[in-house]
Amino acid sequence: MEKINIFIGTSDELNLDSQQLQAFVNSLKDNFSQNFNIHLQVFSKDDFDYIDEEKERLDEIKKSIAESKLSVFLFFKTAQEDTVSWFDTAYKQIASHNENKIYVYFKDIDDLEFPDKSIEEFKVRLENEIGHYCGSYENIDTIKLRILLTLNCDSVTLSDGHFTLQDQIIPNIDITNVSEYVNNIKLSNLWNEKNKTSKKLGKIEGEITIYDNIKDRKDRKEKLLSQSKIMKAKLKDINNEISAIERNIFNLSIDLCKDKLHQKMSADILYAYRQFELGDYEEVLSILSVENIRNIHNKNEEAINLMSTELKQDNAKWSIEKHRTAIKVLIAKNSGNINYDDDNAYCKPCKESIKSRYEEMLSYSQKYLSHKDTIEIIIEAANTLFETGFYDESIDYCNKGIDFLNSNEIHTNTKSYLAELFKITGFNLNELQKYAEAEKFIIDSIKLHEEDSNRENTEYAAEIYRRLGDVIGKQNRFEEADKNYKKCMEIYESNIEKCNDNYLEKLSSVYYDICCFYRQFNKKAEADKIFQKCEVVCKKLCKNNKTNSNYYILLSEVYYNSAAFYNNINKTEKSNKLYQKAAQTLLRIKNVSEKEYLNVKFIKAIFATCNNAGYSSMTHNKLDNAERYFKICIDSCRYLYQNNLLKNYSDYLKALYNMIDLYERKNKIATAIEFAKERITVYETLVQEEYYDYVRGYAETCRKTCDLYNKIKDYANAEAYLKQSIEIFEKLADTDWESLRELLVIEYYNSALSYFDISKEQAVKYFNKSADICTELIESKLDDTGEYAALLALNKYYIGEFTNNLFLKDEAYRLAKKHSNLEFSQVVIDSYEQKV
Amino acid sequence: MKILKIFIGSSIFEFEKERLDIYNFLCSLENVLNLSIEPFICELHDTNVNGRKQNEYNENIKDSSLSFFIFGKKAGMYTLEELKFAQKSFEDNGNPEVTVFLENFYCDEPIDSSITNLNDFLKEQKISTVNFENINTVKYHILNRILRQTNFKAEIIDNKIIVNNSIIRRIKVSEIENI
Repeated sequence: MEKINIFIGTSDELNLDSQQLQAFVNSLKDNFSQNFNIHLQVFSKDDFDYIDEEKERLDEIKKSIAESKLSVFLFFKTAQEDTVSWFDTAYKQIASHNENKIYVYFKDIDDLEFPDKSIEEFKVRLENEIGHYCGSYENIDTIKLRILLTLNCDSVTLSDGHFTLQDQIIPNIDITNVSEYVNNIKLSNLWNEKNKTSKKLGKIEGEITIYDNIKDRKDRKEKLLSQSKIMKAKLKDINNEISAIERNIFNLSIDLCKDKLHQKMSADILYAYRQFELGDYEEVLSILSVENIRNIHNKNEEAINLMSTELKQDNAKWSIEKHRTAIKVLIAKNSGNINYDDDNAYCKPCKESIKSRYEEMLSYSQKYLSHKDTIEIIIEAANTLFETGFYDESIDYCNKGIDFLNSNEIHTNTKSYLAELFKITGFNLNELQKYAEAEKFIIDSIKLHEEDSNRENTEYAAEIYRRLGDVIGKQNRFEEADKNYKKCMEIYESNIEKCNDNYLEKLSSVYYDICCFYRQFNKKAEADKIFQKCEVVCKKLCKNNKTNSNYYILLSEVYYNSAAFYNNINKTEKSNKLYQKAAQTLLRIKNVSEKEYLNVKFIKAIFATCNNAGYSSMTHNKLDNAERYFKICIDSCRYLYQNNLLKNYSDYLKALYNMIDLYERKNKIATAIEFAKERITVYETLVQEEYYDYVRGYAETCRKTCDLYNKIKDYANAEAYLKQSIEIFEKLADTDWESLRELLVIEYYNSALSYFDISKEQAVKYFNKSADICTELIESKLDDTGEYAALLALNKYYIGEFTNNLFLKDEAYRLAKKHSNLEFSQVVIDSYEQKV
Repeated sequence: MKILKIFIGSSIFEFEKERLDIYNFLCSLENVLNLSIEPFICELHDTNVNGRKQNEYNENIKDSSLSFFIFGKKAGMYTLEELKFAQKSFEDNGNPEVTVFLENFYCDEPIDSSITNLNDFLKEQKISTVNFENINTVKYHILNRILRQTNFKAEIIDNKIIVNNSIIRRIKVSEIENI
């Protein structure tokens, strides 16, 4: 009988998880020994509790790890030294026994809690130094399934949501707890839908049995029966859909399990694994098929050699097509999650994946297909990389294409291929802000295009003129740029009879660009004319496609851009109206479909627009309107925050600040306090990164909360928040007193002011502290402007006021007089002279 | 190989970790005692679909040779029912032997009425009880009950429990009470 030892290593905080895993493996023992002649033996540190002597105990544990084929290490908030040393033992063992496996998983931590530094350090060591994969889990059932599949992935099946091994259901893995299933949004929605429908069906069937006994209500019973029939059909559909997704995920997990992925892996595979745990199995499929396709080819190398030329070509075309589809999936999936604040919008693994796929496609084409096919793939690669924002890489492909055309004879369309390559190079250079070079390439492209006897695509020419206009405009040559833009517009408008939505969409974006161009050169009248044309086209698109949010976003962007323009030239009335139009346009989408509303791209657009609309309403003192817009901002940020999609926390913090400000102005202090508390909670999650601005914002929000409590005379709470604020500032200043005392001097003064109503004694204490630092700064000759002397005077004046010390007030007055042009001094002088 | 079925009952949340620990402890004894030990704990038999299967549990109690029940601050309704069923089965068929472990705890709160009822039942039925503070005590007593079913004896040498020339793992002798 084969013996398989498994070691479970966890820190003390995960003792329950460890016991559950051990019990799980123990419960599999009989099944494995009866069906596979395998004796499973599980170990953990509990097995060595009987040893009193610490060193002997650790040696025994390490010996047991060395004999284990599979070692599973789980971590939570701390990476205990002994658990890490066990991992090191297991890792050393891999070198000599390559078939051994190590799984490292980190249990998810609540949003409001933070891991110990040791966890971060260990993660960094795993990922950067060792290069070992580490996953995450929320429920221990995820790890149970990993172990089960590792032990025997060929015999495990999934049916009706249950995992079975040799026809025996494994009762203690609940599929609804396993990460890759529960994190799949579509699947978890379907499970919810199934529960709801089952409950409804149960209710209807219960009612039917009641009406069975009531003869007079035949009509009601028939209605219920038909409802029940519909429900059953719906349930069947849901079950089928659930089974299909579950099966897809399961099949993929088997594939992943067969791969030796837990040791060093490429960025591609690492990304795939992360996505798998996050429930996005479609993404994983699209990424892993690079490997799969290559494997198919490698395996069939001999078979390919025996094929006829035609079959070889078909085979290569099949592989190329597979990669092409995968690239499309990859781009579509990533475009929903683009961070618009980041220039390099698509993630690095995505870029690597696109590039590696094109390289594979080229190798097939060069081996089995024609030169024409190869140049078309090169152009396709250059285009795709340009569209996904990888400009340097796109230029590399253009150069490759030009070299290819120079060294190989292609009988037809050579000029048009060259024109295309020049065009893409020019477009890339434009994005890289190398405008003069870009202009040269685009002009060359136009020339070649005009020389090409086969040319017919006028839309193609229009696009080149448009980009040329852009490039020249950026070099501040208005007249020339205007000429090119007009050429582009003429071509589009002369083909207006085409008038399908696709064409209108292009036309609207041309108008949009030209409108921006005129505004850039302050040609208001021309810009307004084009703006109106653009608005008409966009409105038409929205009317034709009421459920397509993209057109509403486009129309909103048009308004938004104009609003920003008018705002910049201080036409606030007009700007305000346009911001509101932009927001209203987006809000119409919310009514169209909730699904669209949850689109990340849309949420970001709605935040930016509503934030400005709200801000604009605030400046015009239209507080109710502002409230409406800011609420939408908050909702969108909360949604992104709760779903871990928020990449830029400053938006959320800004939205919360606006709410606090708004409700304070509306004198709804209790509501303002609620938002202040929410802001504190957000800061609490951020300050762990010890980012200075966040710490400062955190402390300032605490003081703001204190001031709000002061307003409603809740002094106990006010003091608690004030203390928190002071504590944070003092802790911060401890780290670098020299540079942060200038911050603290103001903060002590502000804190003293906040203490005004709470405790006079404390107020005096903090005025004194602020005064002490002022003196220190003055003595260190850091008071060039006299600002600290003025603040010292103000501090002294208040201390004199509170302690009835007229001498101190006189001294403060004399000091303030020396710096009478400063604001702090002015307060002292005014107060003193008024009292006298 | 002789099969020894063992039922372990306790309140589901209060002793979750201990129940799993005992289960794993029992599994580790198999090699030492040349016995096929089949411990039964609820979490390894429940699926989320059908919920608790009390009839299946009762069948398991009836088939077991030994049954152990652990109680702490409260005696849960289901555990109490299982204890009563086990005792009834023992009276009717001589199986399973019943042992109850009662956790000693110190707090100012009054004793829960369910524990008072349990104590009355235990006295009335003359069921053997063991008081414990440390889980190692429970494991040690369970080991002794199992050894009664075999020809082996336990010895304590150098603070380690030795049975059939093998060390019993997962028990810390220094933490066993009243040894």
